[in-house]
Amino acid sequence: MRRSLRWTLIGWYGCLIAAVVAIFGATLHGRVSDAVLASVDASLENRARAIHGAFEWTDEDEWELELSDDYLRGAADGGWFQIADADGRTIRSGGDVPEVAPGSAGLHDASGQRAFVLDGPRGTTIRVGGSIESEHDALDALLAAVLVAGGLLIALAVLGGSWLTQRALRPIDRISQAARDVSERDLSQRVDPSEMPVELLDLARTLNGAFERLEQAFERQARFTADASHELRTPLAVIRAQAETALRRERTPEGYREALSACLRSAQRMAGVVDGLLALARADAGTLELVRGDLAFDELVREAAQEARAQLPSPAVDLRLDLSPATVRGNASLLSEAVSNLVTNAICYNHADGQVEVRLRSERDGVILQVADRGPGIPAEALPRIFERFFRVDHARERERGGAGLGLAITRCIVQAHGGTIEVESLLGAGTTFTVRLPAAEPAACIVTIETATAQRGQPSASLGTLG
Amino acid sequence: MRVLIVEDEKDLASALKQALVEDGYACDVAHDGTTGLYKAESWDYDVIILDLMLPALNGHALLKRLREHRRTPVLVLTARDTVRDKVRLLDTGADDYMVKPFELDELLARVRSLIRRAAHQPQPALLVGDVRIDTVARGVTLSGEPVPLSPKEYALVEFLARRRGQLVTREMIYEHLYDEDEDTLSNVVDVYISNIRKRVGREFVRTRRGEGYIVDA
Repeated sequence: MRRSLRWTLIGWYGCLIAAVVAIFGATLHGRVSDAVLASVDASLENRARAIHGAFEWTDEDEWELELSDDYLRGAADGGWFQIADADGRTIRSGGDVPEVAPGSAGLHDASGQRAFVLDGPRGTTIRVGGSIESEHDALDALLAAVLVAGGLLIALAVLGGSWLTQRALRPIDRISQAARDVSERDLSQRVDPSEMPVELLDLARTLNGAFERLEQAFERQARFTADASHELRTPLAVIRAQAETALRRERTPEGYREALSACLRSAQRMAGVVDGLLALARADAGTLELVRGDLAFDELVREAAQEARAQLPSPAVDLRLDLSPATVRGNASLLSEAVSNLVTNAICYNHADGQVEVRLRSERDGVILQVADRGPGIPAEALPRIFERFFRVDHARERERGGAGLGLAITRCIVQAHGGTIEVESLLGAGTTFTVRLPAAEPAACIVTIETATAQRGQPSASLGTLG
Repeated sequence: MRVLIVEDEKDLASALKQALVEDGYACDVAHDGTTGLYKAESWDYDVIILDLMLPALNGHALLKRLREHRRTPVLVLTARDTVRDKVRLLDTGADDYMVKPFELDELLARVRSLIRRAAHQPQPALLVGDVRIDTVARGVTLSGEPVPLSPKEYALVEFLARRRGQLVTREMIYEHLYDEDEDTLSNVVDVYISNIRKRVGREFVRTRRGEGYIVDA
């Protein structure tokens, strides 16, 4: 069975109260019982001494006792006395003398009896005793009273403790209620910190933070799903509408050719989206396979940039390369892909006769690659989302060049998989600069010749999809 | 009947336009939201087919602005299929929606249905005297006999019949039967009317000199 915090608390509380009650009861009982016996003993001793004082030998065999029997026996019921001579013969006795009377001087205790023995004159022994059953009864009654009171006290303590723990745990109930609501119904639910005691405030805030991140992740996921479905459904709708329209009646060869071309364009776009999504899924799963080698990064950047440039129909854009020799350790195809994506973006989001500058320099702890354009720039509010999947600053232009808004997301995945970082700076109207930092390669013995990526650059994500 | 397609996916818009034109509709296309809204507010379309993800002005915003003063039936094309998206669409003023990818036949049927509903004539066939106009098969019968009509002539018959009892001006006919790319000669409507009278009977449509045409209620 699961341990209940509430019952554990109540259990410990009950045990503590029980221990206190037990110690208190035992002490009380012990003290009272000692006091009662001490008073009995004192009265026995008094009587014994009184008998001793009143007992007088007048002659060899003659003695006198000037006390009344009642006194000698003692006031209490069951009291007795015995005067025995040196041979143990009873000279005189009163009350019910127990059969085996103790011999030596001092106090004696036996089966409900208490006795006091005093050595009298001429070898006699004076024994005084009495039943202490009434005292025992009284002590038993006291014990019973202590047990009953103790039991009641424990019961009360457990009830009170239960109430207290319930009260103390109520904020936790509220927290778990909120957590349940979040998981079952509404991700916007939160724990109200104003209802929380100081001790739980931190927990409540931590949980609220976790709920917040959960909600955001969920929204991102929902948006991603909606975007992905849009990017796949739109070309599918084109294929379907084109094919259905073409098949409604006989067409000229030109009519069929147009319809088939439209279908092909859409199929290519879908393939690009699917490849990009697969690449990102592999990156997410951590299975982006990196066959790494030491690369002459400046050569790789040069080839990737020029190839990207050659693929794009913007002949007037001026591509300037300013590359210092640099070596990085990484995967040639993936890094080419990343560079190609950045250069493609820089050319596409530029003025018709704009300029793109690719700078590479080597520093002590790594290489810095910058791709800068003099294009229209990115609005400040769009900058934080620029690396998000399917995010597009200008929906229409991106659509025209066939991208799905996955290029930068893929680029970031590639850079991060190489232990690097990517940043973006943009000034509206002045241009955008992407800065990639990659960690330096260990001093390399040999530099692997770059394999040029043969995949089609027009679909920035297409070549990546075939790598993993 | 004149339809406006607002869709930035050019291959999709062209296929839809081709299918609609072949069914006798006049059809205009806008590739972004701003142009779409401008056209939607400039002409009296019978149906607008609206994509949601549009450059310049998105479909939701376009719909909201359009609904401030236009009652044109709007059929929305969307890639989003969650209930929340659909509810939001309908509550913004869309009359119908289709989730991409859609079937062409269904889209055309929904367009016909929207036109019927907007004209408060839900029945798919119209009867004017002995003339029966089947808006699904796009054919006319006179006393049970099929009447041969060109697509434009049929469209004019349907347009007039949908407005029976109302005066239909030449301007209305031009606006609803021709798209923005078609050049129209001023007497072409007269030619069509004369042909229609020859085939379905003189009494089908009356001319109000200087005003227009009317089909009796």
